[in-house]
Amino acid sequence: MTPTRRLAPLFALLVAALLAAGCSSDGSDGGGGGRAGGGDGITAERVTVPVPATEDQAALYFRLRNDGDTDDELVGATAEGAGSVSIHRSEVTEDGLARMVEQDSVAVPAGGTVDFETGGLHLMILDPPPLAAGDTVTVTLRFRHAPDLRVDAAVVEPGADDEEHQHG
Amino acid sequence: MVDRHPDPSRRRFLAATAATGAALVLPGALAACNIQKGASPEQKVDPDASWDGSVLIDPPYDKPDATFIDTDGNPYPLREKTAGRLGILFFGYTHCPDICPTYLGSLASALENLKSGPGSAPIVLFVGVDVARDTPEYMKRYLSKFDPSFIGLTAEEPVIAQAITDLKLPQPVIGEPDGNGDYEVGHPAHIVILSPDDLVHRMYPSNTRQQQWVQDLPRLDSGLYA
Repeated sequence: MTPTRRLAPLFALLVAALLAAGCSSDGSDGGGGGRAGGGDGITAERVTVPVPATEDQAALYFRLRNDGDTDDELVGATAEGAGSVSIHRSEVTEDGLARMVEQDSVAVPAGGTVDFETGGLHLMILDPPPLAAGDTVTVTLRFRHAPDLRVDAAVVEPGADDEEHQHG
Repeated sequence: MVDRHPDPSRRRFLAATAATGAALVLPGALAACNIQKGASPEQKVDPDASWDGSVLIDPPYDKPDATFIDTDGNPYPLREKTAGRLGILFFGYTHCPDICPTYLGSLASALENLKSGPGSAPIVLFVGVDVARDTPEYMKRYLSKFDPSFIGLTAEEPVIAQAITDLKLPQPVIGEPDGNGDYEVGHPAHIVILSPDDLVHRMYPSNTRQQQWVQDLPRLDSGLYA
């Protein structure tokens, strides 16, 4: 079997995830699945949750874009059917210790984007509902100024986002 | 088709996605998202490719002379079990939402892509440093979600600490529980390669991507490390 054929299922899965999550990260209108609410203010793109390996927690990744004129802050989130959601940043200390630091808020500057991605900022969902690849989970992001932003996060295979090509 | 994953539901899901997803969704996705560039799924193994991103340990370290306990409760003498084989050792914890599952997912995807070729069957060892919550049963269930061949290991804390010291990695830090009893855990960020010559020549950061594993595991398995 050729490498291309071996990868086809994963690749299709990735594409499905990108579609479900809204795939615009380069300024084009990418279908808008993950862009909702907020008017001209803040939008979320590529909203994904890798299938968690335990029932205790899951991670949520996305990109926030602030097209408004006001500096804003993400101050919290909820996820339908889940326990609490908290904002974390993974970091590696100088001596090589990986740890997570809880964040009270994350600045989303006017005209800027903020990436929540593995190894950095992410939302931690405690006690998520049962999640399988292909599911969606509705998440509400709360901001200091902008109205609440409701987005459907696409549940993807763990490792699938690894093939996502960073652009923009 | 040889499939590493005995889980039939996963296989069915992937097959269904390939059949319907690839045929129906792919063309539209490519047009809408403009992701053709660099999106070729071809994997080429280049022996001269850069080792960038990983760390060469020179002179190499000896493998820790540690005996862990596997998730079936059996002793796991590290040196004996991994003698002459390619091993991948990580000190993590199961209540880790970001770094550990990303690492395990990327590695599992890479092994799936490598199928039965060189580097496709390393001994993957996950030592749970959060001994209170990383119980054998919990670790077994956790790791099986990624790849049932992954081996969960535990031990008394001093055994784990000594192994970490031997590898010159930082000691885990177990945080104070909050009101709900949840706590943060700090753990070594590096992934330790146990080379077939039974030495530690190379370590990888925990955010190593699937592509790099696919590139490097075959040459690590063949004994190369630089």
